[in-house]
Amino acid sequence: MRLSFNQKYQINLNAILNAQEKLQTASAKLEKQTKILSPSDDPAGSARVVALDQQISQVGQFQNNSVLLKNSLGIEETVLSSLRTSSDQARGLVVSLGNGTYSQQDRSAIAKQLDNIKTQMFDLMNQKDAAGGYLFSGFQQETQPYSFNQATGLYDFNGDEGQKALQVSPTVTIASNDSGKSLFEDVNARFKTTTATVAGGLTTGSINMQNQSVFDDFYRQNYDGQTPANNNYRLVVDAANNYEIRRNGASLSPPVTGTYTSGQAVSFQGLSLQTQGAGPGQLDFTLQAPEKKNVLNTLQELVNAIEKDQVIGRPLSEAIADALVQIDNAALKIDAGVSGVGGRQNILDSVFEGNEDLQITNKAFRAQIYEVDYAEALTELTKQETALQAVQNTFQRVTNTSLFDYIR
Amino acid sequence: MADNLLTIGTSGVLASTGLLNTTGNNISNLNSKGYVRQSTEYESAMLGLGVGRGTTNRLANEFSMLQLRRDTSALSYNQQFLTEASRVDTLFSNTSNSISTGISDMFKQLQSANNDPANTSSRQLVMGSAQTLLSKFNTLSSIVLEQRTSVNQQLDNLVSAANSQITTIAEMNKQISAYGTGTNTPAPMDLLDKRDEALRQLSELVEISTLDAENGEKLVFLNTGQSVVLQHGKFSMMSAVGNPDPERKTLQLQLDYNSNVIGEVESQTLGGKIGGLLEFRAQLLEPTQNKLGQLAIGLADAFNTQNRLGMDGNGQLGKNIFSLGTYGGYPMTNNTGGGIVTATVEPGKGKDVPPNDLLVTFTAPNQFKLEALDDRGKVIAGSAVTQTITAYPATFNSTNVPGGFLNGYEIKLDNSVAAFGNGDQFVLKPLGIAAQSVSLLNSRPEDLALASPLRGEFSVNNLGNAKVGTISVTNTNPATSQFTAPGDVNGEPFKLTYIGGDQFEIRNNANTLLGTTAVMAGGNYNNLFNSAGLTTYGFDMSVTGVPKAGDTFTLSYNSGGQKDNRNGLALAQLQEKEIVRKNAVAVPGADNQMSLNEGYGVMVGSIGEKTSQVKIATESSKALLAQSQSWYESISGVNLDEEAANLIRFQQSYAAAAKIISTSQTIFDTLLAAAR
Repeated sequence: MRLSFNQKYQINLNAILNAQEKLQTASAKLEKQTKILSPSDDPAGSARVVALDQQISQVGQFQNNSVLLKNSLGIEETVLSSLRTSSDQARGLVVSLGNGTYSQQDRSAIAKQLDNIKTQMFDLMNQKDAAGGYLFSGFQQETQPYSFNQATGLYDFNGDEGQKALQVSPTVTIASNDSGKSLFEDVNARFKTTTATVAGGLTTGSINMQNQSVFDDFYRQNYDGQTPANNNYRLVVDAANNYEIRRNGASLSPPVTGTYTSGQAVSFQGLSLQTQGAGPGQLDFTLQAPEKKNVLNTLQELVNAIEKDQVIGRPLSEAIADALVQIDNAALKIDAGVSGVGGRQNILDSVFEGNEDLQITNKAFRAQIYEVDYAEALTELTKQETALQAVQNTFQRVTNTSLFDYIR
Repeated sequence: MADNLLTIGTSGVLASTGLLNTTGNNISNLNSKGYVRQSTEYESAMLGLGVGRGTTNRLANEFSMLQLRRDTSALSYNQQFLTEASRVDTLFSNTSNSISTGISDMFKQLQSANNDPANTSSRQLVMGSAQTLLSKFNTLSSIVLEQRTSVNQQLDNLVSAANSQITTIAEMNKQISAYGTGTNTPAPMDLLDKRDEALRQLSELVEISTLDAENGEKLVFLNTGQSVVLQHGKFSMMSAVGNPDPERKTLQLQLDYNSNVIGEVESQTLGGKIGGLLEFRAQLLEPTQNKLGQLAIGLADAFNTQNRLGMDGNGQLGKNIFSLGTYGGYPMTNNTGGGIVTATVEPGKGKDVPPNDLLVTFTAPNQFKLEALDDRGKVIAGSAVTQTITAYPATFNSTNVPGGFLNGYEIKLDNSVAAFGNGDQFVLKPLGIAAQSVSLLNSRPEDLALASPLRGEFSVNNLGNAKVGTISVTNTNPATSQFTAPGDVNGEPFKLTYIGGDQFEIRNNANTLLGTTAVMAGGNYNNLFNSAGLTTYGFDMSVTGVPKAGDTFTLSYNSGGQKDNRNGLALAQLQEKEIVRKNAVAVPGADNQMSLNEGYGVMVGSIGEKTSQVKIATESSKALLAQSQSWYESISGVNLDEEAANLIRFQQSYAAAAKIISTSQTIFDTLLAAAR
């Protein structure tokens, strides 16, 4: 092909410009340490990098959340186990109160110890977290969850049942706190009946708790919050000294019947109904409405009974029984709380590890798409450098020859 | 005899001079633009009387020129597109401008705020990062907008350059035809060179095709078939005008002798630099701008909507965080009426906004049609929504439009200034400026509604183990729900009592029975308010677990709930939520929504894809042009070595012819001497 003068220069010049551009690109990749200088270098790759960057930053935030969560769950766990220790101490002391050889002075000394434990528990239940908010006040950040009410002489819960949750993965949120309401307030007081009233030929009547757990089961199944009359029970003794226990005037199913002997207790669902006299007559009692009591009030009431009222005998044993059951109930709730925290920590750990793996995979993937491969980039740079030198030499060679040089 | 010899010698000398002239001309014009190599050819004279008449020709091949022009157009189209596209491409490769990073940052800060909702400084950081994100939107959008202005300016320049070439060609045509094409008239080589060069330069601007007229004129047509250079020196001028949007100029053709004949020029097949510029705008610039606007609207509206469902740091119902702006419709210049159309994004409907401009057409005096437009301003089939206007000023939104669908907008039609004319058209381009018009209403950290406005609680004396489940808040507008401004609920606290038989009673604070739920079989006590017929309350509550008859639950305003982050978590969920609409038209049931980040990824991906496409096309058209250039040059270009050889050759033939004259002289002298 015939080559024109201009063409000769143009072709070689283009070759040099091309080589320069390629060299520039190769060096830019090294300078910016990326394979993708602009989205057009790898459109699919850069869209993926956008997605990966978001995921990496999001998972990073989830990991931060997880660390925070671990911390607050850790604090809660520590506080709860301290509470549990205190509660065990209290229980031991309450049991020892029942020792018949103890004098009022001894009991008073124990009551003082119990009062101290109560103060300690009060302090624990008002614990703050790392950020300065109360641990157990629910959503009420600034409200101290437990306070002493001078008017009633009891401890009041002032928070709510809010549970703040933190996100630790796109789909998993984990509660970072438990409210005092579910941990300490939702504790059943001992289920009891009213004191017995007698009528007809029966002269005295009393009810003793023979087996609390049997009674508890019965109570849970039969207490009627809707129709209060359904909680009225009556021991009916007829003239022939046969007895039957009725609920709100109706026979139970199956009917509870037997032969009545004055002075001999009738056992009924863990209760022992003690009455004297002859039939016909009746003994009435009612299932007391359920009551919730936090452990602070339980201890407070017990201390009051011993210190202020100086109770002895049956009221003392009732007070001890109340306290034992309620301390046990409260301890169960705390245990449930601890295991709940543990469960959440387990989930958190596995999510955390999953996130960590995901993070590594994502970063590796991103590096593959986006980051420069030094060996490759350096080779490319050297190659392009050589190429540029080559075309520059060629230019000089090709343009250096002209016939005019030979015309003299 | 010697007489003849002198004639022959003279003709030889003259011929050699002519040849040397041509060679000299070729060498001298080595660097002249558009110069076509010439060669002079002689034929022998009759009766052996030396050299006859010589003719000088342009060594031009019409086909090689045609191909050269075509490849020039292709390359300049691609190059223009690439130059512009690279600017956008580079802009989006910069991580500091990345919307995606901005979005991630904002949600990261939101997560931190959720970890400690009562902390004002972490709330402040959310507002700060929102501001940063908005300014990123703003920066990107304003750079893209600037580029639109630069497209307009370049278009003006290129159009005037094209017009000057068109006039040159028409002028040359006139001169060439005046010169005549007779057999005895030598070709007007300089004029032809100039015209060919003008054609080549015009082909850089737009792709053209030519047709030879009999009188030597060249008629020029655009690739669209529209003619720009006509016979007898007539031509059409191009002009760039913006209708209806003055900021979006399009190309028109206007006859020079009759300015009423105006033709719209389609940019799609135009080619050349002008085509490249217009296509860049249609294929890359505007879609990018629209998608940016769509992301901004999607994010701002979704955030506003969720924020309104929460309770802010002051214990009040959440308010809008972002303001979205009002967008005026551009009236077409040939509208007969003077009404005004405006659009705003309907609160909560930002996810329905498609990445398109919209066209409002009055199809009957009291009827208008809303259609989505594609990148080239053409109506997308199947996107039309027709509405009848009963009274002005008319407002259309999802509540009064049957089917509730207006592409996420609320449209206002105002005829207070002047009435609408039948057939009037308005183009709505909210997305073009949305990324700039979205702003923070204020940056008070307390305005972030991280808490839920409601709090449900079980009564501590409940026998059963049931607890309050999910509380959903769907509407906090005081006009249409039980919520009251600035922050309370009418009738709270609500008391829900389980009455056995899988039923609940709902009472308000005055202990008035509001309703009883249906029998909720299977122990799924979900959405109790709805089940009790209280459907317009704007909230609902579920109970989980096993309640016992007589158990009560309360639902009250979340006063003091500063540690609550339930609404904050819902806000954080927006990062994953699909709040950006993909297409204006989709088959029912198709996945037509994507998340913010996906939307941004798609946008960056398509910019990259388009740019790389053009990059490759540029490379290939470069190769093609190089090929056709070497073909053209091989025919029409000057080779110095060749000319050097010719120079020697013609110098020698000159010397030889001169020798003939001197021989003739010698012969004559000899003869004279002999006769003496």
